[in-house]
Amino acid sequence: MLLIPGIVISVITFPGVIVHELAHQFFCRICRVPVFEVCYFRFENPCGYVIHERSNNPWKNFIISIGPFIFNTIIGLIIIFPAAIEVIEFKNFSNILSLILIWLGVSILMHAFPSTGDATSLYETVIKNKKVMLPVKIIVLPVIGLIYLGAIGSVFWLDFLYAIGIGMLIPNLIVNLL
Amino acid sequence: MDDYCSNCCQELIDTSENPDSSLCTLCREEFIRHPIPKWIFLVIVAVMIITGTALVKTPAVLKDYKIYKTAESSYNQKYFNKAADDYLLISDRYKSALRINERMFLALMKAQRFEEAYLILDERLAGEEASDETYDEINSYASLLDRYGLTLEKLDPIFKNETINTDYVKTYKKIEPFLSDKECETSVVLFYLSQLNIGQNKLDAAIKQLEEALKAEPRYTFMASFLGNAQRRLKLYDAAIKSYESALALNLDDETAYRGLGVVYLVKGEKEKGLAFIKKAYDINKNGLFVADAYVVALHANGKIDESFAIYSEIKKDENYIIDKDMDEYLAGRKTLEQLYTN
Repeated sequence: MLLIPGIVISVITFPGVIVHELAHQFFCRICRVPVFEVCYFRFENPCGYVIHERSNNPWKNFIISIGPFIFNTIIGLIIIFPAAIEVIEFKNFSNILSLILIWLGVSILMHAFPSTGDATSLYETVIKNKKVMLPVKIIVLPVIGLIYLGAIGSVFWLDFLYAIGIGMLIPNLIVNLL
Repeated sequence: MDDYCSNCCQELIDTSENPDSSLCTLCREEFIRHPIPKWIFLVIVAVMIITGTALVKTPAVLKDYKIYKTAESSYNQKYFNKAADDYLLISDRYKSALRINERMFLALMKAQRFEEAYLILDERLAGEEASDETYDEINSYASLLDRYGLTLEKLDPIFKNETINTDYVKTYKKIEPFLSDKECETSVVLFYLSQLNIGQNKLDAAIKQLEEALKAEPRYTFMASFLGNAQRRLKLYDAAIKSYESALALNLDDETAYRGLGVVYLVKGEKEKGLAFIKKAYDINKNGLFVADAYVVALHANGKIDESFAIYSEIKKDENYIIDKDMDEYLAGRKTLEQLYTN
């Protein structure tokens, strides 16, 4: 198995980091949560972050944490959609535009997974928060588990597989529906 | 002091939106609208342009993908003619697409469309590294096509220059030595010899040569149909059916084999079954060798006279179509089906 330091991956896929942090900021604004600092990209770990006020509303924290997952997945899918068919399925490697779309789409999709920082934030604000009702905790806990699993899975290229999977699965579903 | 905003230290904390807030109303609004740097806007614009480009491309690519999936499905079900046609439909837009070129080449070879396969091999696949999953198959078919082409190069001039019917022995003697030519494909040489024998009505010899040719190279499925035709002419109907079915086992889109099967059933008296097979051949390729003729005959034999003459007048309009002269004799009632299709 090919092991590449996370920082190298993040540098190569830097557009995904920027979109990820932008998504956090975007959802903070939607949820009216003050943002104190944003780093869209830097050459150290973590490559990007958003420091915002902790809301007492668990749903707001939840939306802000998983926002990039939705945002990056949608944007990445739109970008990768035509190129994935051409490059991955047809094996056409000569179209520069398609190769750019693949790089950008994969970069954005690879950074769709919320970070362990997001999971920790969710844990602190929802699970450990005594004011939050039990049903909400029951909903949020598996999500936190999945985020950690995703983080562990990234060692095994899970984020990359997610990107390729989304890039190929959706076109196939659509073609089967047509 | 604890009640004052942690940012400006001048206004009271606003807890209306968050009881744990440490900001006043103004600072809160300011932080909610945390500014996005200008360079990020450039990134956003770039991403939007690329997203727009992707969106514009999507419908056409999706349409091509649908055609590709249909081609794949036809290929996997051994409908190689249909698969090849579908691959060809999209191939011009993805000239360097390895997967499409590989599958198109294989489909064309399996559909016995050697000239088109040669063009794909020469223009699109030459110098390309074949994918792992198709590497052996591509190389094997490419080698088959090379040998086929080389044999044709050597034999075609002889075949064309000689007056086969009058100089049968001379032509035969010129072609026969190529059986020991290592550069030539034995099965193709045998096929040429069998055609000479068929021309002389030496059907037994032709059948042996075709059987031998198929044994040497079963992938030339067109030879199985020629074998079936020779067997049919000798009224070896069961053997002929087996030959056609062996061709269809490798390519379910073989119009020559369907035509042959249909003719055998027509002659055997199973006219409806015969018509069904010939219609299949006509639907696959109405310009196939004697396919339209057989369809005219089959319709006529099944009492569908109007339809039969409609097809007949249609093929008469096509100057390039070679009509079987004996068909006119059958339609005029001067020949029976058996006389038309057997010796």
